[in-house]
Amino acid sequence: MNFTELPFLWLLLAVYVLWLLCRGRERLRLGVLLAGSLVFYGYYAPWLLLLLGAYCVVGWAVGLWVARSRRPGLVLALGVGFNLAGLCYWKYTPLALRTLARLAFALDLPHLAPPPPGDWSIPFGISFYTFTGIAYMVEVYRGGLLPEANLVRFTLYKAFFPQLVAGPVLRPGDFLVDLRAGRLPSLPQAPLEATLLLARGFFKKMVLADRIALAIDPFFGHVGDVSTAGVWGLPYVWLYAWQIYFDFSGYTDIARGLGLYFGFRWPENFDRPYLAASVQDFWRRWHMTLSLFLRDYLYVPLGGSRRGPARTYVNLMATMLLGGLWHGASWTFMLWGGLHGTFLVVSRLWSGTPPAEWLARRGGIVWRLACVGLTFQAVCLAWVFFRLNDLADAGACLAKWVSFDAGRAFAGGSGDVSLWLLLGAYAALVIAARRAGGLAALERLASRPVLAALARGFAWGGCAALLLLALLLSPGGERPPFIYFQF
Amino acid sequence: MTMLRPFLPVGWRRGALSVVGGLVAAALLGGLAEAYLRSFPPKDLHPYLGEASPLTGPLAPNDDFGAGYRSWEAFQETNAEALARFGEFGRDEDPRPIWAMFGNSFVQAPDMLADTARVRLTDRRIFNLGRNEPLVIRLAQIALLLDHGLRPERIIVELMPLDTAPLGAHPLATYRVTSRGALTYEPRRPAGPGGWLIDHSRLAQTGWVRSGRERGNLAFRPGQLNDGVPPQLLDDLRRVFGNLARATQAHAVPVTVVLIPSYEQVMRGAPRGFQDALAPMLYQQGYDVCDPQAALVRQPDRAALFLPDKHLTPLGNRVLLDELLDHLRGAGVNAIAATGPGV
Repeated sequence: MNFTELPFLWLLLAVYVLWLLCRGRERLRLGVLLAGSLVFYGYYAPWLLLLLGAYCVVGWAVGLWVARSRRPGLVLALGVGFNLAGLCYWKYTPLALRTLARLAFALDLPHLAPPPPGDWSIPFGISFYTFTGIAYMVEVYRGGLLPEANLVRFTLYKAFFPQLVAGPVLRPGDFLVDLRAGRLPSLPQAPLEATLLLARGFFKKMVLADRIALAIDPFFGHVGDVSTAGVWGLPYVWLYAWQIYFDFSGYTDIARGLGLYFGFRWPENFDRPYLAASVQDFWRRWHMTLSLFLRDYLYVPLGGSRRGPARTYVNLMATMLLGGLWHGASWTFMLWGGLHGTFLVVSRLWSGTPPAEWLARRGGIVWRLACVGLTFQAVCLAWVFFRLNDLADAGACLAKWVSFDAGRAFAGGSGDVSLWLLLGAYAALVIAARRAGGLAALERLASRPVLAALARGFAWGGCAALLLLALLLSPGGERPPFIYFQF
Repeated sequence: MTMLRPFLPVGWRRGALSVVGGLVAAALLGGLAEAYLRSFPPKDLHPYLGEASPLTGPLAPNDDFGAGYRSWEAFQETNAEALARFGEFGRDEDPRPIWAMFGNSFVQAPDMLADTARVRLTDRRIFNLGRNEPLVIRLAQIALLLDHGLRPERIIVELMPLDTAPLGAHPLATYRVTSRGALTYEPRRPAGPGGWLIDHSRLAQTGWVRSGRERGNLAFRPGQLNDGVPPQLLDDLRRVFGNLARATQAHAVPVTVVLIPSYEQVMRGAPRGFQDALAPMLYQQGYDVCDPQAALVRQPDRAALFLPDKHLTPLGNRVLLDELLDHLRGAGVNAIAATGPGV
């Protein structure tokens, strides 16, 4: 099920009303949330529930076994191995088959080529619930968490519908502890903030991301054709950078808003990533829960930066390459990860040099802006390999960054004035809201009741209007799914 | 606040102020969005904006068909490629009689009925425009072509339930062809302040259109066409086909209407309400009607008649053409069809 389709609205309303009605009965609340989550996940493909169920039962059993075993390391390896094997099978079989077939033909051994994978579909959300499962087992193994004895609570930790499909990647400390007996929330948290997150999330996805998609998809679909000859590729990649940001951060906003409505507060996943002044800074601001997961469960166990510069660079590259491969079963995702790894290594090498230190001290705002611009451009370069899963297409797109006809440079969607105006208006609203202090400003007005009442009403009215405008300003017609649903 | 103080308790006063704040925010964002939609109306709103629609086209209002080409020149310009392929309407060295075929993609798309007939009929020339136009425009085209010299031996018009769905949703009475030549529709509006709001606000109009309540015939559902043709749609079809009958009879050109059944009717035994309602009306208006459903249903492997997108396969088109030729033979028209592989 998708957050932007009508059946989801009915499911959400039903689950929420039942949840409110069961306010005094914790077990019933658990049941309602779990039942809603299972309907959400199995709505279009009920067989997926078997897969999810297997992951939940194994994760729950391994957690208990790790805590009681004399050889917890071995049990942990079995549990992590099960999770990764499942993920690899579902996600990477088509890539493996295609690669083996190419290899067989290249070596002139066509009889060894495996058959093509056919209509292979990856169970949606598998990457995310694999990660939450691994995080849980590792935390129990490290002794930082007691294993969850109740299978229903554990299943809800993995399957709760707002975060099931595309995160944020929740660690046990972010969520499971709130599901423990006696701690399950029975009241919504911060309703105004929750509504603002929902309204902003839907607006980002349905208006901004979907309008950008409509403008740029034809270009990327024909990037190697004569139909895009002479068109300047760079604005399209800029627009894609914003599309994926609005799409994914919109999803996260909705997920976090829904979490607050059910009484759970989950971590931020984005912090104005395109204002990052280095690629290292970018990864502190983009998909933050994944970055932290990769840091704590991959980079640090590999040795992190504790074993000298050379090993640090190897660890960085390995982490980013695996992060890239996690995103999708295509070698272009590896390239995307590899580029980010390279940027991180170069950034580390540069940051220790005397000119870098001098510029950091004396460069001021100009140097800061140059860093932001350069980082954004580097990130855009990598996005090309994220968006285009064919190397020839990616090459054609990059060639169009520098080679274009002045007369046709903005042909197609990148020349759509209405889109740029909309993005400009949204940016102006965000800047105005930040300058006004955001929701925190309401707290500061506590001593001025008239202004506080006006401001609170203003915030609620703004949220309601934004929700309505998400419907009315969306492009209409069939809505593309969230980009991260495929991962 | 000071003005409200004598009349309201504190809680109410704060509530009133919150409402004021909410209204201000909604008005601000709504005003911005309204201005944006006035400058850049979304595509799904274009057919309901009348003269304000950015749509353009070669059309003009037409008393007989609701809408038709603005002029012969506009028609020629739009169909230049197809007309160039055909030459001077057959008044060249090719002496074969012409069959002019009109219809949706089941006729016009590559390898469909027109192409199949062109390949298989050795003693007839097949005229078609290769464009899928709305039904009424198709019918207006026929009258226009006859007025400008096309003299086919026979006109063949395809008609399926899906051809009539747009007319079912938007009856002829709601057609408004703009001065820029585009076909738009007068949207249905609620009575009272709601209607006023829709007339005066793009935001309200967008909401109304996206709620699906703007269609002239709100009760119409395309899925119901297999069960029968609603009275309002039948009246409109009677009007446009009646006017076409007068035009073709004035030029003494016979017309065969081929009622191609839908995929559901052939494969799933859906009711034949559409054909049962239209065939008597068409006979009454003087048309020859060919109903190939029985021939298609008779096929031993019916699944082989359809492509995945539910258009007919080469086999399906061959069965359809054979049935049409058999039907015409019954009416005394003998066309020679080539047989064998590849034709």
